[in-house]
Amino acid sequence: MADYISKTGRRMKITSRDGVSRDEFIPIALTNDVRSFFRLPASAKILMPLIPPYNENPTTARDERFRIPTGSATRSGDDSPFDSVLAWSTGPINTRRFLNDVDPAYSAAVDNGSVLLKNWDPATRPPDVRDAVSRLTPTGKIKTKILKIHGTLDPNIYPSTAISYVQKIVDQNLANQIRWYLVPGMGHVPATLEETLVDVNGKTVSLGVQLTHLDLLINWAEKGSDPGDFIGIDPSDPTKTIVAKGAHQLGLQSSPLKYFWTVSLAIAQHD
Amino acid sequence: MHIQDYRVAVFVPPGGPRGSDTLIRLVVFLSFFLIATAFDPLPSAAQTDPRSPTDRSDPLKSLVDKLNDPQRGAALRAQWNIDRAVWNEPVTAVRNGATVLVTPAHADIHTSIDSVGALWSPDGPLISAPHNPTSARVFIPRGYQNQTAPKRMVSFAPGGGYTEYTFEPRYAIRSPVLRRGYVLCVINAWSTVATPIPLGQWGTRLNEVVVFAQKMLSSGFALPAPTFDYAWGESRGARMLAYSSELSGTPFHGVIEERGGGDLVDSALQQIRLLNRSASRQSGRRTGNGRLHQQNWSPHENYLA
Repeated sequence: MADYISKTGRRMKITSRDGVSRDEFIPIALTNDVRSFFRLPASAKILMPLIPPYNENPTTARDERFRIPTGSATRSGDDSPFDSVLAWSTGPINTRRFLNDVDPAYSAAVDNGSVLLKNWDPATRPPDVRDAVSRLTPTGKIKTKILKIHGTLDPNIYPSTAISYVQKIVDQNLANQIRWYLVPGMGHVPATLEETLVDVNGKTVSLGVQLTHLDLLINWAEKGSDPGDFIGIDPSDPTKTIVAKGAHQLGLQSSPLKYFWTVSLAIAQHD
Repeated sequence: MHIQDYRVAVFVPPGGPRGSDTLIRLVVFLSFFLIATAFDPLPSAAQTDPRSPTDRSDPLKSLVDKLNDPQRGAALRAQWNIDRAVWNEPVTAVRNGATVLVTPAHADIHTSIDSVGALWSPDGPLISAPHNPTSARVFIPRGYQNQTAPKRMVSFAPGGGYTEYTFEPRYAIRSPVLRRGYVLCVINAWSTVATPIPLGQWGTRLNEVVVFAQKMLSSGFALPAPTFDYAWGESRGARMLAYSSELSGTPFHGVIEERGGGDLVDSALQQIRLLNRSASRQSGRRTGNGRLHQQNWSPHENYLA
C-alpha cells in the first residue's frame, strides 16, 4: 500500500516567490478519513495523476479546510494554499462557471434545488446547450506553435486533460506545431526555477524565473530549432532543476498517452 | 513632432551654385540632422550602462512624463485608454563587490480596450478586475527602441485569480523578461467568479488586447513594433491561450501553455463525473441521495461569495 497523498506532499513542497518554503497541497495532519481515501495499492501509483480531486471524499468535502472562508470573495491566500488551490481550481467554481455559460437554465435549477448538478449530462440537454459546449471545446486546429508544460502530478488540471488536448492537435495532423513536456513529479506550480542572489547586506534578492521554455520557443519559432530538453524546477527540491524530455525527443510526439505512461513509469522505477 | 514640420531657408545666389555649394549642402545636411536629432524621440543615443540612472532626456521617460501631464498627455491617454503610466528606475544589487542588474529601467503603462475602465486617475490606477475585464499592463524596457532586430514582446496571462496588478510576486517574470530587452504585456486573467466575460470570449479578448498594445507601441508611441510576439499562460491563462491559439489572425508566433490549456470542458465534465462517483460512495455510507454534494456546490455554502 502506498500513501500517495503523503508522498506527493513531500514532492510538492515549494519555495514561493516570497522565499518561504511550505507544502502547497498537503495538510500536515491527515485525518484517518483522508488517509483512507488516498490510500491506494502500490500498483496504482502510476495511475495517481489521474485520480479524482480531494472533494470526492464526503468527509473532505465538508471539511472547513477545503472551503473558501466565509464571506471572502477572494482566494483564501497563500496562508492556506491547500484550501485555495482545492476550492478554486479543483473545486466547483470553474465547473459552475462553465455551467452558467453553457446551460444557465440548469445552473439556476441547481441553485434553487430542483435538480442536482451531478445529473447534468450534455447529451440530454437542448441543442443550444450542446452547441455552447461544442464552442468551448478546442478543436485542435491550432494556428501557432505551442510549447506545453504539465506536471505528471497536477491535482488541479489533470494530465489526462492535457493528453486529450494534445491528442486533438495530433488528430488534426498538427503534431509538428506542438512540443510538450511532462515534468515528472510536478504538481500545479510554476515550472521554472526562480533565481536569487544574496546581496552585500545579506538580503535575498529575486532575479526572477529562468526563461528556459521561452528560449526553447523563441529558437523554435524564429530559427526552426526543434526544442531540446526542458529545464524545470525540481519538485523534490525547489532549489534545483531537473531535465524533462519532450514527447518529440522520445519519439512519442503522436502518442500523447504513451508519452504520459512512459514518463510516469520512469517515476515509479525511480521511486 | 516630425521633421517635415520645419522649413529651412537656404539662400542661393542668383545664377546658381558656385564654388561654395558643397559647403551649403553640408550646412543644409547638418541642419536637417540637428533638427531630426532634436525633435525625433527615437534615435536618441542609448545609455550604455543599464544599471545607471535614466537620463532626463530619455525618450521613454519623456513619454511617461508626457502621459502624466494633464494637458500634453490628454490626447494620447484618451486615444489608447491609458489610465496609468509610471517610470521605474533600474533596480540593482551588490554581490561580491559587483553591481548586478536586477530589473532594468522601464515604463509601466496600463491600458484597456474597454473604455469603462479607462478613467484617468492621477492618484493611481483603477484596478481592472472585475469592472475592466480586458486590460493590459505594458512594460517597456529602456533602450527597447534602440535594440538591433529582432524586437520581441511577451504577453503573459497569469493564473486564475491574478490580475496584471497582482501577478507579482507569484510570477516572477518581469525582471528576467525586461533584462532580455523584451516588452512585457501582462493581461488580466479574468476571474471565473466575477467576470462579465463569457468563457467563449477568452481567446478573442486576449488577442484583441495584445493587438491593441502592439498598436499602442507603434502608432501611439512611435516605437518599433515587435518583430516577434509570444504568449505565456499559466493555468487559467493557459486555458485562454488554448482558445486564442485556434483563432485565425492570432498575433502570436508561439505560445507557452504551462499547467493548463484546452482542458476547460474536460475538467468540468470530470467534476460532474466525480459527483456521481462520490454520490454512489455516499449511498452506502451516508445520506444516499447525493444532496450533500448539491449543497456543497451551492453558493449558499460559501463556495462562492
